[in-house]
Amino acid sequence: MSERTTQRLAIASSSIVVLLVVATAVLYAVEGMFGGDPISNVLALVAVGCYAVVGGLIAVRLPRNACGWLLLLIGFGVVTSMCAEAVSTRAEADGALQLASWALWVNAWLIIPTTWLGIVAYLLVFPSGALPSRRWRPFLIGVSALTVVGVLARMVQPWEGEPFTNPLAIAGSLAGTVFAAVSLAFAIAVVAAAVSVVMRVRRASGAERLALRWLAVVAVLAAALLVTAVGAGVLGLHAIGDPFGVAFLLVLTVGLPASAGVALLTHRIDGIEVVANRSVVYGSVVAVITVVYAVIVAGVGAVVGRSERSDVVAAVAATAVAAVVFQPARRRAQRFADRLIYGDRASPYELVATFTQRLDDASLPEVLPRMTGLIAEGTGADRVRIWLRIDAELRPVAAWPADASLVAPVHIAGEELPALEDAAFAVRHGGELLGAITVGMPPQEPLTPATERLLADLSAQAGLVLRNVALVEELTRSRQRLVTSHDEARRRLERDLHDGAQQRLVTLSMDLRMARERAGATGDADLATRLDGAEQELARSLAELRELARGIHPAILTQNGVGAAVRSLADRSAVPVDLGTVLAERYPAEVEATAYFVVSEALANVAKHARASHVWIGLEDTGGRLVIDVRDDGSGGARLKGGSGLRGLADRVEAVGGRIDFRSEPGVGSTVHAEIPCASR
Amino acid sequence: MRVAIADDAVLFREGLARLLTDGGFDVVGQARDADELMTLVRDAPAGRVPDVAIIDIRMPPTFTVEGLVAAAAIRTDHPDVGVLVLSQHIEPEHAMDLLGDGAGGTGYLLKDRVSDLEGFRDAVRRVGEGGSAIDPEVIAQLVGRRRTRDPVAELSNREREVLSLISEGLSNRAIGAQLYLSEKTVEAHVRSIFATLGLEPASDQNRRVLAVLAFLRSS
Repeated sequence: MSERTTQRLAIASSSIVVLLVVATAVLYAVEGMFGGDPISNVLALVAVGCYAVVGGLIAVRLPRNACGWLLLLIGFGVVTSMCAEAVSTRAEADGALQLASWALWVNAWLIIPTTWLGIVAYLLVFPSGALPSRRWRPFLIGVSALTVVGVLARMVQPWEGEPFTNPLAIAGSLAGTVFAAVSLAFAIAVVAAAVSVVMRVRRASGAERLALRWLAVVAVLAAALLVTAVGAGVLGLHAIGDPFGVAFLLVLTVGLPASAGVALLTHRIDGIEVVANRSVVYGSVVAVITVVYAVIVAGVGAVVGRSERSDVVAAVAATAVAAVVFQPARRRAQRFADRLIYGDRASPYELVATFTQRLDDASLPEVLPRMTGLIAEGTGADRVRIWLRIDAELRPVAAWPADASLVAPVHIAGEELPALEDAAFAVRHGGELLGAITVGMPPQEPLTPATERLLADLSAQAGLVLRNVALVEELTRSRQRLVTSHDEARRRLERDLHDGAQQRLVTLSMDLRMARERAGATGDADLATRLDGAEQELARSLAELRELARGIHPAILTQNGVGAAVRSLADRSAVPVDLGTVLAERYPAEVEATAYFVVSEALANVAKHARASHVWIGLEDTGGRLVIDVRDDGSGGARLKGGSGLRGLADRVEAVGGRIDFRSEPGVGSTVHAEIPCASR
Repeated sequence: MRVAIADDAVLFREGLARLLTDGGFDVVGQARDADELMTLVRDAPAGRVPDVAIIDIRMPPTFTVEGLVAAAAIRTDHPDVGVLVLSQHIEPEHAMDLLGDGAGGTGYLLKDRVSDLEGFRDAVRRVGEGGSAIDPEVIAQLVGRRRTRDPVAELSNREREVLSLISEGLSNRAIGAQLYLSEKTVEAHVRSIFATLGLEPASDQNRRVLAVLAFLRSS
C-alpha cells in the first residue's frame, strides 16, 4: 500500500470514529442517557475523541508505527459499544425490540477484538510500534486466539437479568463460563503486557528507558484496576467492579497520552515527539470541547426544562458552539503543546522557517556558535560542528556543546566533502564548497530521513552565513599578516640600526677618541679641541639613535619578553608607576608586541594629557587571554577615542583578535583595558 | 691584565683590542660569538686565561641576549674570570641579571663608553680585579624614575653624586678621588645615604651596588 493510500485510510478511520462519537453524543443527549452515569459516559466519549484524533494523526505521520492504528482501534471499540447501547435504548423506546436486542448483542462482543485486544497490543509495542522481541509473538497469537474464543462465547452467551434475550443464545452452553474465563485471561494478558513494559524499562537504556518508565506506571496501575474490575464483574459484584472500570478508563484516557507526553517532555524518542505533541493538542481540545458541550447541554436542560425537545436543542447548540470553539482552542493548545513537548527545542518546521532570522541579530563571531546551538536544539544531536573551508582544508570553527573539543582540520581535494567522523552536510554557495555541518546523534536516536532533510535544508540556508564568515576570516587573517609583517619590518629596522649605524658610530667615536689622545700627546691643541667637539656631537647622535631604535622596536621585548619590556617602560616613566607582578612567560611575537604597544601608548597618553600623579599597570595571563589594564588618577575626561594613535592601537589589537576599551571620566581618571587572545609558548 | 673580547662586529672588536693594548692590557683572544668565547676561555693555556671577558650582549645566532647567557656561564664555570657586558641600550633588568648575588667580577656598560678611554679601562680593570662596573645610565634611569614616596628626593645633591658612583661600583677611595673629597667624608656620605634609604650598611663594594640598585628598582 502506498503511503498516500495509508494516509487516506488513516484519515477515513479517524473520521468514522469521530462521526460515531458525535452521533453517540447526540443520541445520548436525545435519550437523556448522560443523566444515568455522566462521569463515565462523558469520560468515555472524551477518551474516544482523543484516541480517534491522536491515533489518526499518528497513523498519518507514522503509518508504519502500529501505535496510531491501535489507538484508533481502542477508540473505535469503545464508541461502537456506546453507540450500540444508545441505539438499543432508542429502539426500545420506539418498540423496535428486535433492533434493540441486536444492538445490545453487538455491544456485548465488539469491545473484545477492539478495545481489549488494542490495549494489550499497545502496551506491547509502545513506542516503536513493533513487538519488543520475537518471544512475544506466541503471546500475541495466544491473545488473538483468546479474542476469537471470547467473541464467540459472548455471541452465544445467554443474557441473565436483562429485559432482552440474546438472539443467538445457546441455552445451557458453557459460553458464560468461557467468557468469564476469557475475561480473566485478558486481565492476565494486560498484566503480562504491563510486565513487558516493566521489563523493557529494566532492559532499555537512556531516553527509551525514561520514555517507558512513565508508561510502565500507567500500565501497572491500569492492569491493577482492570484485574479488580474484571474480578469483581466475574463475581457479580458490580457495585465494586464498575467504579474500578471507570478508574481503569480514566487511567488509560489520561495515562497513555500523558505517559508519552511526560516521557518526551525531557527525553526524545525520534518521531514520537510528533505523537506526543498531537496527543497533548487534541487531548486538550477534546477536553475543552467536551466540557463546553456538557455545560451547554446541562445549562439548556436546566433553563428550558427536561424534555426531548430541549435535549435536541441543547445538543445542536452545543455542537455549534463546539465547532466555533474548536479553532481557537486548537491554536492555544498547539502553542501549549509546543512549549510542553519541545521546550527549548524548536519544532523542525519552525527551525527552518526562522533559521536565518534567528541568526540575523547575532554579531558575526556569535553566528556560528548560535547556529550549532540551533541545530542541536532542532535535531536532538549530541554534538554539532561547523567547518569552514580555508584553502585546501576544512577547519572546525564552532562546536556544540562548546566543550566538544575542536578536532584537527581535514584536507579536502576539489569541491567534494571528505569523509568526516559524524554525518556531514556540505554547505555551498554558488556551487563552491564553503564548509560543512556535521552532527553526531546519540546512539539510541540515529539520524532519520526527516532530520537528514532538515539538515540538508539548513545547510543550504547556511551558505550565505558561511560565505560571510569566510570573508571575515580572510580579512582577519590578512590584518594579522599585516600586523606581523609590520612588526617584522620594525624588528628588522631596529636590528639594521643596531648592527649598522650604531655599531659603526660607536667604533667611529672610539677611533676619534684615540685620535684625540694622539693629538693631545703631540701637543696639537686646536686639533684636540675639534676632535673633542666632534666626539661630543657623535655621543649625542648615538643617544638620539638609541632612543629612535627603542621607539621602533625595543630590543628588550625580543630579548626578555613583554613582562620585562613593560617593566622597562615603568622604569622610564615620567609618572610614578605601580606595576603588579612581572609576567615571566613568553608569547608569540605579535602578541608581545601588541601588548607592549598598548602599554607604551597608554603611558605616553598619561604623560602627555592626564596630569596624573600615579599610574597602575596590570598585565596578567588569565589562561588564554592576556589582560592589560593601564589606569591613572589624572583629570580624566580626555577624548581618547579621537586620537589617531589610539585608533591605530585599537586596529592593531583587533587584528590579533583582541579588543580594547578606553574609558575616561572627569575627576576619575582614564582607563585603558585590552584583552588579547594568547597561548604562552 | 689579560682580556678576551667577544663581538660579532670585526671593526669594533679590532678597535677595542687596540684601545686596550694601548692601555697596557694583554688581549689574549677575540671571539665572534658566544661559542667561540666559551671555547677560548675554557681551552686557554695556563697563563693565558683572561682576567676579563668583554662581551657584546647581542651576538649570533639570535642577536638577543647571547652575551648575557655566556657571561652567566663564565661566572659559574670560571669564577676567576670577570665579565663585562656591553650593550647599545641600557636595561636595569640586564644589570640586575648580571650582578646576580653581588659576588662581583661583573660589569654592564653602554657600548658608547668605550670612547671614554680611561674611564673604560678603569672599568675593565675593576671587573678584572673582582669589582663591579655598572653604567651610570642604569642609575640615572632608576633615580630619574618617579616614585610616590621618594626617599631619593631627600638626598642632597652631593649625596646623589655619591650614590651614582656607588652604584657604578666605585670604592670609597675612588669616589673621593673623583669628587675631590677625603675618604672619610665619602664614608660619612655613604652612611647617611644608606640611613636615608633605610638600607643595611654594606661594607662590601659589590654588595652595596646590588643593594642600591635593588632598592631603586623596587621602591
